[in-house]
Amino acid sequence: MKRRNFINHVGWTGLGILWAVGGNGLLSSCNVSETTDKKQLNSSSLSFVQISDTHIGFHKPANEHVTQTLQKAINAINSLPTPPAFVVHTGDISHLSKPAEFDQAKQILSQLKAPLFTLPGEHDTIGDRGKAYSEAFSQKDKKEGLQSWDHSGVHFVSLTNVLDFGETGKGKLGQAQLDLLAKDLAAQKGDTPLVVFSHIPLYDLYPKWGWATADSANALSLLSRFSSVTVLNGHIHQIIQHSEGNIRFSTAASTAYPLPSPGNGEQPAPVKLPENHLLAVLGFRTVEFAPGHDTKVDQHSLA
Amino acid sequence: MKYRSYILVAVVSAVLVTLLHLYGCNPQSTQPLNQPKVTTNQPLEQEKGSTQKANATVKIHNFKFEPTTLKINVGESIKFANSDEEPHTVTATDGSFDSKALDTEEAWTHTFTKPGAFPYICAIHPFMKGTVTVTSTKGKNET
Ligand SMILES: [Cu+2]
Repeated sequence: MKRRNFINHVGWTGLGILWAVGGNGLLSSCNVSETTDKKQLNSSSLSFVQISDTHIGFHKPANEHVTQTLQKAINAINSLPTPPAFVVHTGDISHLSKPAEFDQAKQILSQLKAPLFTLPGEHDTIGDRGKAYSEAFSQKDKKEGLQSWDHSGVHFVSLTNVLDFGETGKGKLGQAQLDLLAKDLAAQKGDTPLVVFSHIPLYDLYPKWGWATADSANALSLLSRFSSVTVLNGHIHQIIQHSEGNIRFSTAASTAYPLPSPGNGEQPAPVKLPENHLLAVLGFRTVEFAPGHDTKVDQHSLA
Repeated sequence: MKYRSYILVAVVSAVLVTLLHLYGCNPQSTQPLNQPKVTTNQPLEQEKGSTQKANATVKIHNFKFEPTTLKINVGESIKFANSDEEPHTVTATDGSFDSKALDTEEAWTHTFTKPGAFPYICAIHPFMKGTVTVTSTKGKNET
């Protein structure tokens, strides 16, 4: 892996920086006021929210109040000036896949005014391949772990890559899901904006800690013909941006606790921060599509 | 704005390194030096919380299975004990056994009834790997 992949590591200022993704795939920050020209565009814009890694059931010193921090995030989402079309949870809803944890998570998440889409993290599938998870969060719209939907001209695909790890220690999509993805994408035009969600990143972010997906190259080759692809992940508990060709990747902050930056320390164990610092690294993001305009990703911290 | 971000990352990293260092010095997370080497002939003293007698113990510590490879005889059992703050699992790559989640200070004992090599991982941190080699009782005297 190239070291410069990490140069895009975006720090968290707690101010809710707006990141605009340009046509060249490079990220730059800009002021909210610069986006007012979107009013000139004819068709409706789309805004959605990503939350991730809520880890309900976690009680360790890194955050002894994960339900409260999730609640804080939900309150903030519900009072966004532009109500999101939907919210996507990119996995690790629970900490130990216990039915009681899923029940509690479901109860808190049900306060969201917007519809909720979920996909599992490896913390949601411990010991039962996601049985308890799918009892709490219906999986009826998924096939082979894949779910896709369309909204305001944007095509969304949610993938599952936490059920098989095998020899590599990385996440895996599996051939059946890849076949379905190929079929799903075949029906899409190349200029349709795509947004892909999965728990574990779909590129080699830091394979030593399992922050990679063994068969992600197969998925990325299917995505390569599209002019605008945004891949949003969880699992990393911090924001790391990366791009390859037309594909822009971004991992999300957690609402529960931060993890060390890649290779910083011996293991990816929860990082303990003073409480005021903790809230600054927890949060959610909004993503906005205005037709003919750059995709805007806005990070909201809980501080 | 950009530089401010990098400074924040640097500060957080420094705090982190310090915390990790302190954590490493925490008596709770330090493996006792007088821990006897585990062998199949020397059953370990039972720790609290375990209901089953084990012939050997694998400690799960600092995101590692210790020892990483272990040989036992058919019919013998291994206790997997997690002393990390993070939960872990003991999950066979061939699906033949799975501990479910072991939280801090939780242990799980499994009896191996078939001979062979059984690689396993932690399903939460799949880069954590170990192997149990189970030999048939016939070959007991050879090992
Ligand atoms: Cu683990």
